[in-house]
Amino acid sequence: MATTGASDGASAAKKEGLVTLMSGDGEIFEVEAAAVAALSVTIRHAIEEGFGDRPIPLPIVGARALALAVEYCRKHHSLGGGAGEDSAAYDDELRAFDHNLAKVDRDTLFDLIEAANYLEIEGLLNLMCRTVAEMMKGKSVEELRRTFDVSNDYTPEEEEEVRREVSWALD
Amino acid sequence: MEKMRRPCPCPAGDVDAATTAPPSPGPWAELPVGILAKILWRINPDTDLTNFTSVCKAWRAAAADDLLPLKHQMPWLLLTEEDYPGSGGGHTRSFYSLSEDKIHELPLPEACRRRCVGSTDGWLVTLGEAVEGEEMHILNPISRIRIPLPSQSTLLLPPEDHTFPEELIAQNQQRTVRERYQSFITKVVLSCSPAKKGSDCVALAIYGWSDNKLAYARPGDAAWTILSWDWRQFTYKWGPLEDAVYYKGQFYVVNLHGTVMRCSIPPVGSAEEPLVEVIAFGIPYDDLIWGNSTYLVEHQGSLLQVLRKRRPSKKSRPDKPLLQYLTFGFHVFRLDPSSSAWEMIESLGDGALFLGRNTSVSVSATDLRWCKRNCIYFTDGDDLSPWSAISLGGRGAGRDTGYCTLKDWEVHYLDQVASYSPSSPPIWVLPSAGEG
Repeated sequence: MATTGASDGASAAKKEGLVTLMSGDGEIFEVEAAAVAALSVTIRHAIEEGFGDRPIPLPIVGARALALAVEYCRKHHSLGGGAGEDSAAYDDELRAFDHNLAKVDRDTLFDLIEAANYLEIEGLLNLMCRTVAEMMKGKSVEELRRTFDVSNDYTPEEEEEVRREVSWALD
Repeated sequence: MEKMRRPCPCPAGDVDAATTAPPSPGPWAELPVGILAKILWRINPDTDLTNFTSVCKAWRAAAADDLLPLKHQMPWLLLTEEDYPGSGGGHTRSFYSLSEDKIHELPLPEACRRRCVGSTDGWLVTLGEAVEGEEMHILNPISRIRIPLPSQSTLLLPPEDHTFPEELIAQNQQRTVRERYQSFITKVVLSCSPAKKGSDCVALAIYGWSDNKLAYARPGDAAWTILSWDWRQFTYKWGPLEDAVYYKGQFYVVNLHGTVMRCSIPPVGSAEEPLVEVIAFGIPYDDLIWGNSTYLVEHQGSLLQVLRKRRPSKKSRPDKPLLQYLTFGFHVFRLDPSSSAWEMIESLGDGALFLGRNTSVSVSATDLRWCKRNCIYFTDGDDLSPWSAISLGGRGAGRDTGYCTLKDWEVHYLDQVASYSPSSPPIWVLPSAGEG
């Protein structure tokens, strides 16, 4: 797990191979640089740009989503499945891990999508988008609106028109 | 604090505009378009796409932004999976856009590891690889809407190899069952887009070991209906069936001799039998040469027959050591409906034809301004029957893809996107004329 908070200030004796991430809500995570840099394009670039010895600010990523994203990076890096579900190393253990990670509530799912997009962790973003697509399966328009808390901004006439326009496909 | 570059792999949604707009439909509606597109690619287009677009304006816009403008980049050339496997790990297909001289990679798992045996009005006809019970679909590569056709297993009859020369039968029998079935269906043409309102979408298949059978089906049918005809109509002008087109409410089919049959398919629910009759015999330029191909296409209201002339390539290429036929010119004939005779025409005016494994079409160079007038765009016409697959030396068809200006018979190959396949060579994808 990420070692959160409680770091003894700007400890000079920084551990080898670690990088510090700072979430948008100010929590500090010390994580293995290799694992996050392998999976997150954004963090890799930040390290390359000299952030290796300072906390990397991740302003739009909350602590909860960041902890999950870091966990994803660690697991996938340690099992060699960095490339996500298309990779040859994507085995049952990773599949089970991803499956569990995807069992989050709607708001966490949203935060994870934003985090994966911001951090450019492609496998995580794909996993979350697939999860959303799964949640949409077989749902009516009203159910979709309820599930994702989206309010209807169509007028009844517009809605009818949209449905007419695309409904031929299902005839 | 040093400001970090904020990278964003997906094009950001117009968040600022959305927050100042009166009622916000919620954070899920404000996801960047690129993320909505990723979700969209993963939903079931057969059942969930309509509902997705109906939820709110932003989701509809994502579908429209992401999917619809692609149509304006057509015609495309669908490149082979063998040479353009894409970066999606076997979930994408690559299309070369002629107008942009650019390759688009689209998520399209529905067309991966499947043969593509037809292309009409922007829809592909796909065929599973497995031998029996394998599914066929009409697939829209943009919306990914997929409409079932009956399985090819409903066409499987005892193979009638008796039409093959004996040595070819021997070669054929050495091939695996899968290899034999890979070339079982040569081409499927549709009467129109299945999305066209108020019209009867019928698929006509040319199939059989020597391309000598026809069958038709409508989306949702349980089985293909096999057409039969009186062979005595042909006198000596029998040959493999080469192409078919839907013209003025009926299918027309042409064989290698240029003999044209008309197929009258009864409407849904009718007790009539389908009728197949020869309506015109060979074109005047009747030099039946191995390697030539014939096509039918509607052009400015007339039915044209196009003879594609091919000869063995002079240059042997290191990657294709064996004999290869390449296009060197075309003859174009117009059917005179009153006399059932073919008259040769010298020019297509401002028209351009797209021929190959797609449903042959004529487009106006005035409408598609990048496209050359009086020109024929073609894809490899090599049939994939067992003997030509042998002569192609393994990589399959694809080399003979390019365009020919009729004025000077100058042929240009699309070498920059050359791609080969033994079972599913490149194919044109064009939108229907009415949909712009």
